Amino acid sequence: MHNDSIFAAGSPRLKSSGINTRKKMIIYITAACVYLIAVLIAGLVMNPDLYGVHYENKFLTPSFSHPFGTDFMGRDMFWRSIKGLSNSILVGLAASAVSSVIALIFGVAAAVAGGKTDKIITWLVDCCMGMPHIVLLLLISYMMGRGGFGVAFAVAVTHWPELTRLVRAEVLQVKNAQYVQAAVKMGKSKTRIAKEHIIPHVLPVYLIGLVLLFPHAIMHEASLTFLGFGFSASTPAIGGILSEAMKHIVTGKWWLCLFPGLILLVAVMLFDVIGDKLKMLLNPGSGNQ
Amino acid sequence: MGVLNNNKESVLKVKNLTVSFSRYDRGWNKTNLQVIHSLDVEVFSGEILAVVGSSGSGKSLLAHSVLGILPDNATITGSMEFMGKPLTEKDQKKLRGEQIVLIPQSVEFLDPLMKVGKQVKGIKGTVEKMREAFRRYGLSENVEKMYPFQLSGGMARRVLVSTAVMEKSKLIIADEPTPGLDMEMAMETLRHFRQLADQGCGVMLITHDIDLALSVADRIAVFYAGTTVEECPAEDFIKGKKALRHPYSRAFIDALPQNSFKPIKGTQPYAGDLPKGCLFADRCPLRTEECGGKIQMSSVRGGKVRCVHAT
Amino acid sequence: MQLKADNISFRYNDKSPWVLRNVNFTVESADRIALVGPSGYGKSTLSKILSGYLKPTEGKVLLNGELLPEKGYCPVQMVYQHPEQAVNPRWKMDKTLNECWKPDQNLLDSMGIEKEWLKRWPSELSGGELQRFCIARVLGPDTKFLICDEISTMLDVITQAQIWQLVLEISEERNIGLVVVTHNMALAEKVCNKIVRLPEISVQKPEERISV
Repeated sequence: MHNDSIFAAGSPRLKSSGINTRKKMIIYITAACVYLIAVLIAGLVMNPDLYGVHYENKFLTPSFSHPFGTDFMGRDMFWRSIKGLSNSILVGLAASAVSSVIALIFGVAAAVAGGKTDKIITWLVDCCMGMPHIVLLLLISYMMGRGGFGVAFAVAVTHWPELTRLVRAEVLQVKNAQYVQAAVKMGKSKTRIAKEHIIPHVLPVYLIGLVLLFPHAIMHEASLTFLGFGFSASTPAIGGILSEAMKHIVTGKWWLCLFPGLILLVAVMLFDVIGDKLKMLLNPGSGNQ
Repeated sequence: MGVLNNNKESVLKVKNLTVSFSRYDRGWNKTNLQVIHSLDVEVFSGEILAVVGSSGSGKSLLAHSVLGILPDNATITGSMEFMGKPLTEKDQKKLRGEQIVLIPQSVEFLDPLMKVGKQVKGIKGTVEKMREAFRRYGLSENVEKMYPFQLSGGMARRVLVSTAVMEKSKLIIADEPTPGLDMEMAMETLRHFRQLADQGCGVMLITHDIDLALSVADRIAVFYAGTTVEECPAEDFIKGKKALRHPYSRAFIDALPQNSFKPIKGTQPYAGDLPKGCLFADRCPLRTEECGGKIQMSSVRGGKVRCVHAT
Repeated sequence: MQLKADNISFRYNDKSPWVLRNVNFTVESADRIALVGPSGYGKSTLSKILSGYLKPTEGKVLLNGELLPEKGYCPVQMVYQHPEQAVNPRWKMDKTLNECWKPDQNLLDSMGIEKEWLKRWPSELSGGELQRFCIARVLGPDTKFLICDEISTMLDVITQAQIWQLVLEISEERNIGLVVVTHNMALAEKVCNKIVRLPEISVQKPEERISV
């Protein structure tokens, strides 16, 4: 009895640092948002001359005046990449907005109406998810006449199935919860139950789904453009930049693909970080850790 | 230091256990909420210790602490010994599922998409052992191929218990194994536990149903607001109020529907807002000034009690 | 007031076996009926049908000779076994309590609901405390019958006795009829003035259901 071992001594559970997990998460999220918003705004207000053609500066290696170097027409790669990423984020925003609205309507309809509506919507979801995504994107983008609109449209209408599934499952779950059933028997109207019980339950899941749609949308826009089905060559876009860079990579122009690829990767990963952290914060199970 | 059990081996000894959870109250600030404090409990081989108390008294948390399955924001202090050796986090991982087994509440804890035979076999077991366990509880071989939803209530019980006899387990923890069962089925489940104990296991039976606990247990530990208030032989509860030591345990007897069905007033204090001194003081008929100090467990008439007025 | 189960049968769909078959029984306002029977006889299903959560496949539930209202406040209310699942985890307790009517301070006092609890989240209260809220919120003036499906099974005996004392007091005061589902015979005898054994009023036996 005298040699009591202190259980959990030295275990990581006892560690307490000044910054707790929740603070850390909020810092992460803010940093990620600042970066993405800065890129978006910089791209929107940028003077086109910054990434214009300057033949006298062809193929410069990265330096202080051109951090990402220049390409075969002497365009500054740093500004071009920023503009390209900004375009990608715009497409991502549009696509996520459209997709999420579709998902919300479909998901709620399937769960609330049930029966045939549910069957049709579930079937549509399965259909879309069963098809190779990139093929579907190519087809739609091609049909809509390529270009900025084509790619935005294609990305927008193909990203709803997963979120639809998520929304449907959440609504179904909360609809059958005892407290919602009890509210029905207490004579609450459908709108009131939707407003007070269902939406507050579904909203966090929906928002996280929305944020996690972003990286997908951006990547898909970039792939379409890379394959030549997206933005035209004159518009700065990461996909276009990368496909041009492919031609020069054998001649040792490494900076043409490295930096644009890197900033795309960082942007995509940051969205993932935001989504994951939000998920942890909003989930009551892990919210206190 | 089992009072009555000097000839039996101590399987699990928990001393001065505290469990607290860190949580965010508003915005960014973390606070600690201590939900278990100065808790002592000991389980011996060959006996059933029933842990009784109301919900929120920390019964399940004790089980989770012993198994090492508390969430990450929990902090534990105090000591735990398993078979006379300190139980570390590493040991818990190694022992759980083998020497320390949890019998869950219901089939809902089984994977609904996996045949029960495979689940009972687990990662560590063998088919032969699983068949033997099934035979022991009168489960035929086609039960192996069933999915959890195909089991009737009684079969489900036996499947859950058979998970415990797969390995040579020394300690079996059963967390609320009876709610929702009718009397007959509940008694059958408890008979299985009795059998396991008679073969030398230590069984910790966590329940809020004192009636059932009394029908099989050897000893009873009464929990209140995260601590043990009394630990005594089960006979004392059967003998009635006078044999018990703590006023809370006595209140249990009065509240039983087959007795006077008279409750005491008030509720268990909230973990974030505990009174100083005796936690039961504000509901206690024996309350005096001495109850405001720190109350230690003391031995009284062959049992242990946390009350200054116990005689 | 009279709540009547008129020849009720129930099954989940056309192919599934019958859970209840031709159940008849009547509850008056002054009744405190215990519904007992082994598991598998459909006690919970019958309580859900009586309180309008499920529609009977055949037969009707009549309140004073009329069908239960589909819309608006249902005069037959049910209290569940697991109070944790019956309250919205995202609402503080005062919102849950006042969801359908405003219980006065007197009732809260007699239910033993402390003011301070109203500001807490459901996760910060114990099962017994939550169950008090679940009962208080359905004791509105329009409640005529209360169906209690194993409401004290998850509670310790002291809380169980407290809860039942309250329910009995209030049901008597307001002339609310009680249907109590329980497996605890001692409790049924203490609380109720009439005991109904489900195997005697439902023709359907669980063995037949399994063999179908």
